[in-house]
Amino acid sequence: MTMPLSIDFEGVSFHYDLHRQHVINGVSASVDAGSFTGLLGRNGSGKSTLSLLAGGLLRAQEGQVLVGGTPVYENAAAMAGVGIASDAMAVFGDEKMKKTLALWRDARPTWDEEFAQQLLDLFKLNPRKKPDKLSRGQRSAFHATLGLASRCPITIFDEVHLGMDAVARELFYRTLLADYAANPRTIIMSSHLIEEVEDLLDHVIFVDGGRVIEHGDVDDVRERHRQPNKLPSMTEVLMDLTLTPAQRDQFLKGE
Amino acid sequence: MDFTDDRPIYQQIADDIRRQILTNALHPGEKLMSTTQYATTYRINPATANKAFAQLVEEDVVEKRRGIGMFVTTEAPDILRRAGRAGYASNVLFPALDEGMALGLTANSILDLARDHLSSTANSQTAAEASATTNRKELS
Repeated sequence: MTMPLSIDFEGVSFHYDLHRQHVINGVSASVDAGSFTGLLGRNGSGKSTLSLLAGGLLRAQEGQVLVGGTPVYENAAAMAGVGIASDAMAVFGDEKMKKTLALWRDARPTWDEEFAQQLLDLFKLNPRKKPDKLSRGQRSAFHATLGLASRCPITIFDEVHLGMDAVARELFYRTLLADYAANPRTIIMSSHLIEEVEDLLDHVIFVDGGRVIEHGDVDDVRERHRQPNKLPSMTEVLMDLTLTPAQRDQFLKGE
Repeated sequence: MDFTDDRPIYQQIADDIRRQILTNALHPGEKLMSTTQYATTYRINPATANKAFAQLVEEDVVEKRRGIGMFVTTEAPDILRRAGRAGYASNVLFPALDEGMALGLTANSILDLARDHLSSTANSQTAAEASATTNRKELS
């Protein structure tokens, strides 16, 4: 049984060593334990960096990131509770997938081997093949498999749909939804395919220029950005948040 | 159920359950689909279904039986009819009448349509009740 955990960003700023400019700039936000939170923003907004900070893989120069109330950076116990499914994850590219699966099985106390096998079948992945030999979409499906089967108290899916075809993406969303309902845990999903994922979410965090520009319960957020005759989609909320006033008049309010 | 973009999804789910109760598709004492079934059937977040349930619990239309699920209350149809009647004229009937006038129908032709429809509905209801009675007699 997985106990969902919360994430708290407390005044977090981060920049990569060689660059002075902050990629994350004074972020304070919380992800509720057990929520299904969307991390949404335009390219280069800082979504992936926030994910890595939450996983304890990067150290914030200012502020701190707490997982279940404990600072996560280089904290093995806290880090074990966070699974990141993305291109940046631990995968042996030139070894058979079996080897990566074994590594994850050993490193994740919540790993479900039977579920992992079902997912390999679902995505038609042969564990005797090497990730480097797979198509973009199959590699993404493998990342999704690792993220799902690890059943971590916090699981982050960072653009894990890349290269998957429409059916594979829909299989991923529906499997994730059913498994999340059966095994409650904290899910964070960042995706550019906002329309596809927005109904899955109960909370949302919008990021732009390394800052959190809006966050909260999805219905509350939609209501705050309401348009004359309709509730906006999450894409329209992001437009409302990031376009200039003139662009908003041209593209958003013109009905 | 297809969702529209003018209202939150949880309100549309609550409305769908209310409508099912009013049309006798769901009866008092009957169990609602679980949160998980709603999530997987409609591809929505489980919390969205829970929000709909919370709204209906607030109205005494459904009740939670711990560890079992959500059930339609005995008084649900009465509560919904009372609530529906309060706004029926202004929310449903008057807009329909206005629409008819806008289409160029006369007041009398609208009234004729209404009378015809109501009498045919009443006839088919009587017929349905009669056949239900016959069936019951045959069974006993």
